[in-house]
Amino acid sequence: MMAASSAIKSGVCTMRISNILYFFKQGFHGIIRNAVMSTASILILMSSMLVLGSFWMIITNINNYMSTIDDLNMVVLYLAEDTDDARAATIGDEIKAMDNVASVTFISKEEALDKMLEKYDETQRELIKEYTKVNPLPDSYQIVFTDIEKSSSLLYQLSNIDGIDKSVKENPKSNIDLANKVDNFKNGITMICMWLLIILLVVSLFVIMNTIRLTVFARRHEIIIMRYVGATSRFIIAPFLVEGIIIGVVSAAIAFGFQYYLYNYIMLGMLGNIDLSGLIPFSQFRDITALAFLGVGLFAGIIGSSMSMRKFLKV
Amino acid sequence: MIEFKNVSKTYPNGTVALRNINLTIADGEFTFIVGHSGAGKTTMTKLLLREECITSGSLKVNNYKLEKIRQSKVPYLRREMGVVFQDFRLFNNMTVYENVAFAMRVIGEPNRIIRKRVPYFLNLVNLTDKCDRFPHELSGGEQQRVAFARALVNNPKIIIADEPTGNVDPQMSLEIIDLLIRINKLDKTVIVVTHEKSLVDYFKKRVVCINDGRIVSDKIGGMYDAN
Repeated sequence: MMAASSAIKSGVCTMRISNILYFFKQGFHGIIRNAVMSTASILILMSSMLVLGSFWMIITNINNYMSTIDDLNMVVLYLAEDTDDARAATIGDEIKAMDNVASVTFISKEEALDKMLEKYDETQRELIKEYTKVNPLPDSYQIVFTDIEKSSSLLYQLSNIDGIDKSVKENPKSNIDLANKVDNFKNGITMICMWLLIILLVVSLFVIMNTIRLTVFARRHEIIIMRYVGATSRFIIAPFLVEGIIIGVVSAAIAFGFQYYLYNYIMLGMLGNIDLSGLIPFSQFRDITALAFLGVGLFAGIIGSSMSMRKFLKV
Repeated sequence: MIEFKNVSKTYPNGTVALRNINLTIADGEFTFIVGHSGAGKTTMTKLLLREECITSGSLKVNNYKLEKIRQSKVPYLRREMGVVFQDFRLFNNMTVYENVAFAMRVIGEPNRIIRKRVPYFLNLVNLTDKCDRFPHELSGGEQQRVAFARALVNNPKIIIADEPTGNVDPQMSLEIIDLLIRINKLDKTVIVVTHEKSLVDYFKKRVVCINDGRIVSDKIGGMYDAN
């Protein structure tokens, strides 16, 4: 009797270990007792995470693939036939000193021929060698630039260098137009995907929170009784939070498993014979996916439970 | 001690439930609050539990001034009272034992104390052999007794029974009031809200009659007279 009175008089509900164990026990019991709603919450949460995860992986792969087309940021500058070796070397230094230049590679006419011949089989090579006693290719510089936006200014500077082939002076060989198109396409895709991802995330959280809300609503009488027997808000909310956490963690774990399977088997299986050399392996996504799923699961579980309960705690 | 001073209650829809109530219930007193349906009895209980706020006046329960109490203190106010509702309000997913133990857990009692006290109170209401049953496996009278055990287990100073005999037969009604009188002898303040004339007349305790939100009579050893 004394113990009860002192606990009441103190006005403080001490958070005992037995209480913490009780909250966990009640959390687990709550999930089992409300198996249908808990399963619904887990399925919805898991599906949302799976859709988000898959979408994110697709976007990352597209971006990664696009970045492999970076060799479009390249200009080939042919030197005039009468340009001697000393002048050729100076041209190289001039190009290196220019803004927006990432790298400069000199390709001699011999190297250029070898490179060209590599594209043909043995018989064709012999034929070409026979009919071209003199190497018709010029020396050249392969210039890779960093910023596609500043490429026209670089081209202008390059076309004004003395000693370059006059026939290509006005229009050095480059993929700049294509590179521009690819870059615009990549930016557009990234922007659209980012917005879709954000919208998907918001919609998923909304759906998850509403599902948990329904779970709490189904148990409103239980919550009201707790209030009448003098339970504090913290005491009432704790088991529901534990439930939210368990639902979040379980959903994240299942979603992670499915994501692994989906990425490694279904996606690779679906793509079949398509060249997959550019596909990012799942191991590169593993840690961040696990953390993100856990974060989304915990956030949705905790926020969903506490927001849904607020209304019933005012009784 | 419970003290209503000029307490009025008007609901947001304009219904005036209580008008200028003045009532003092001393510690250890046994009081029947009677009246017809809609007279204002339930509103009084709701005000005591701070389920509703008073519109004007002041209401004191032990050391709590209910017109000023903060929401965070309401659970501690409720622990001063053990309440038995007409519909019992038991947890259907908990056993008899767990229902009673829950009230102790709420106030942070350790398991060893819970293990001692719950069987004591279940024995007091003759439910020791049914401690593992769920509420839906019990009769109305048995459920009522579980509600009593839960109301008593934390040793509150005030016991409020809202229509405690509403769902039981006449014999059980007498037993319930008899149990409340025994509880009252343990120096507990007991308030019984009822509209059962025969019971009130039979036990001859203090009777406060309410009609249309006003106290129309307040007599010790009185009879049911709500008109």
